[in-house]
Amino acid sequence: MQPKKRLRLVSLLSISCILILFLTACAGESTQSTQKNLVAAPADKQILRFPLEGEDFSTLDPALTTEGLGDPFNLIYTGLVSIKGDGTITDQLAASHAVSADGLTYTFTLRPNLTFSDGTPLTARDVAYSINRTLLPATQSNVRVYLSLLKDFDKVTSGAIPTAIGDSLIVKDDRTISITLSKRAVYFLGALSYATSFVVEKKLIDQYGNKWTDHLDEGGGAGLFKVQSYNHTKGLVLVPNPRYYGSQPKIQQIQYIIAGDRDSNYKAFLAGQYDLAAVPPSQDEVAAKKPGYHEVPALTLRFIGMNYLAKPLDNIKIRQALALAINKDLIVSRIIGKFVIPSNHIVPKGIVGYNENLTGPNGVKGTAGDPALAKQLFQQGLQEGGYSSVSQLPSISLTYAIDYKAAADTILAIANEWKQVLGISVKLIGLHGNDVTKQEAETVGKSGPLQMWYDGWAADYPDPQDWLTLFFGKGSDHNIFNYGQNNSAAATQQQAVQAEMAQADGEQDSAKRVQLYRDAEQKIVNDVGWITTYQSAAVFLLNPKVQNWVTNPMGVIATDDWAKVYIAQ
Amino acid sequence: MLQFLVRRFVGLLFVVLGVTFITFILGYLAPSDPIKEMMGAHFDSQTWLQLRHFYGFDLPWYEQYLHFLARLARFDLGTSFNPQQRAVWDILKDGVPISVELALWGTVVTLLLGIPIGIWSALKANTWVDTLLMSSALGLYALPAFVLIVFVQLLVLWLNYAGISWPVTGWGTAWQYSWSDIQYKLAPVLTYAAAGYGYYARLTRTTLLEVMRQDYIRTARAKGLQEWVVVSRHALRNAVIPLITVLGLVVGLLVTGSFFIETVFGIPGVARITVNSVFLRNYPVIQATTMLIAIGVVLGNLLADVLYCLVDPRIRVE
Repeated sequence: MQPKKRLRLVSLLSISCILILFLTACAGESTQSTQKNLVAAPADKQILRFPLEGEDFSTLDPALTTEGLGDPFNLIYTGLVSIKGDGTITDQLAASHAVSADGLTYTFTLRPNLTFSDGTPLTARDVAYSINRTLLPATQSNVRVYLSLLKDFDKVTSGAIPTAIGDSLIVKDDRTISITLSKRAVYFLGALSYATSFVVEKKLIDQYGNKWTDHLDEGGGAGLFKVQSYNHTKGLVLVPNPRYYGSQPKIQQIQYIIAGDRDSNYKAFLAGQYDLAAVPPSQDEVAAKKPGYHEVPALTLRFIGMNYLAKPLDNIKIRQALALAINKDLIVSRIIGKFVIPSNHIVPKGIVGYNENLTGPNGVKGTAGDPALAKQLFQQGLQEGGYSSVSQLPSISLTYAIDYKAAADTILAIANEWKQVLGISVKLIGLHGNDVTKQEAETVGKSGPLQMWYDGWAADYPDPQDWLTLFFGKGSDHNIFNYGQNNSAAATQQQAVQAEMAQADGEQDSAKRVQLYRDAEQKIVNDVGWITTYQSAAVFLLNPKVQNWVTNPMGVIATDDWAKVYIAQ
Repeated sequence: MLQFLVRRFVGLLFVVLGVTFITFILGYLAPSDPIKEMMGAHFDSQTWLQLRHFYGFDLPWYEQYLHFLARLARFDLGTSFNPQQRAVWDILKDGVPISVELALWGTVVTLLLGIPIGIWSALKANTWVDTLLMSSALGLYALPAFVLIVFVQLLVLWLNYAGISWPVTGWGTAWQYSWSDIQYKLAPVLTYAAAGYGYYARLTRTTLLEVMRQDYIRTARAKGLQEWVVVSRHALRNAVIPLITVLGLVVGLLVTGSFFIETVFGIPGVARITVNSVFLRNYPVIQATTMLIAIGVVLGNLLADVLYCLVDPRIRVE
């Protein structure tokens, strides 16, 4: 639930919602907590209590949140489409949708008789209003980039044209809206499933301005649940929305309670105060023996980024040597813990198009590295670069976030491996997480300030585009690596890969699209676009009485699957 | 007295101005960009420029500071970055009462424990009672708050294992005292008190012992006064002045002095918000809470000065 959020401790502090955190981390594969045929507890016991780690929600406005993949956003609000339990995109408020032959216009027909939780009718005009609101400069949305595929996105967001309604958003009648894109993009529906497109009630926003989310008990959304109360010092309470068009939930109340830090919440879970808690690393072994323990892979990767514009990282063989000198298996088992997965992938396991047969650089299989080949490639790289010895290499630095201890430990171990295998000393620079983020933004198109850096990424939506084109595409703000736009010998081939990814982004044939992405991923891995260290996982405890807790590959419970969750006697 | 108070309040204005300026300049010169922090990985340059403009970061530093002062004159403390687009004033309105409640009750219990134990220890100086009381006080004082909190929470957890349902985290409703509220508040307040009482106990003992050696105490005893009268009327009144000095400083930190307790117990007070804001470069909130601390410290010292006069008529504020 923290899409496009680089993963650092600072983020963890800023990110207050433990539930959001752990649900994000739960991604990767569906997870299910069910003991069949258990009798449901009485209605007055159907209450779920979730701790909010540290502080209040950063916002409950779906146009502003960076945590909008799962609950509570997908419970209070709903959009045209959503991610199903199996990770595919399905119509939600829409009864159906059609795509024009050129792939540029999506026309959605809404379900009949939709209403907001306060009974106000919900029409296509509300859908258009909500999406347009996210785009308008006055909303100051920091996540409107999810809608960047819309035609004239730049013009609307800059204020050059006053509204997207009537331009890229055409309301045809009360139940029909069409959305026009600036380019073919099959992943558009994935991006549309994010909270930035959720439908909000204009009446409430007009009445209360930017304090409207303080009045959600009066309406505002059309989701499976509605807000019973919201208090910045106590938390949020949801109850079923009787006007929801789908099945009613068995859970009668969900409490998001402002709580303590992770250790405290874990103790509070053991005391029966909450129904869910993330497991602190120090308690992992003890917690593993408790009922309700879950250990789930996440759609989150950790990786070492390398700037193609920084010498000697413009040499592919030196990059390959650096990648193959790392024994990821050893690092994971000794430092991180057995529950994460060492990986060479850019598209993580759980995303459509995951390539089981992907190999590491130079065709190396497995994740233990290949020290002998690494040495050989390194020597070849030195010769190609005109360096007579290791000592002639320009200095290389690796920047990491000091606020995330596991990252610091990992980087130290990797630097030792490079020293032992290649004889190269990498200068380690520890910075606060947000300073690393700042430097990343400054590195796009430049040889610095970053040469190498340690980072992570969590999926926004279940599509390879979110991992490949977003990071390695031409002109992407996230192409910090300067893949394709560099002076290396591989630059031309990389530009061809960028064209391949752009083609895949708009390819309607699913099989062909997957094949294009897989091919691009393998080529990027061969060129060591980044060095993946491992795919993350999360461990948490869930009240064993909670049944039908089924998360989709994004790590969140699909909106309609919430209706099945209940508490057994 | 009136002239004294007016002078101090005028001084307070300059202190607040100085503190806001220093905080502003430090924030301005800091390498981090709060807008980039707020955007996280959703960075795009157009949005970044617009948000910078919205929050006034595209202005020269002196204009930014003047705008801040102009807003301050209207009691507008600006808009927070995280929580997003929330008035800082609203954040303080929610958090300050909770922090004050915690610190106030914590301080009351601290004094109720610390001063009597300090007196008892002084009266039993160099006996096993003194040794026992002061050792325990020193032990609790030396124990870092975050360690003490863990012990307290484990204790609460054991209570739950023993069948006594008791919340491990949370605060209940501010300034409400139903049984449920008391359950929430008891552990944090006692933790606060336990962490601080040792200091007051030792300070009381030391100052009281010093006073008890004075000639006028000997004279009072020689006049045949009962020991409790000697202690309460003649000794304690003089011994309490250093305590007032310390209390004056504590009042200044009432709002933001319990970061660990608020963080670990999940108390939505302003201390936790302040520290989180430092991590998030949430400058409007940092500015506001720094100002709050400055006002608190000045007012606390003012209160201490006034109390000096009440306790010891020889002291004149002029």
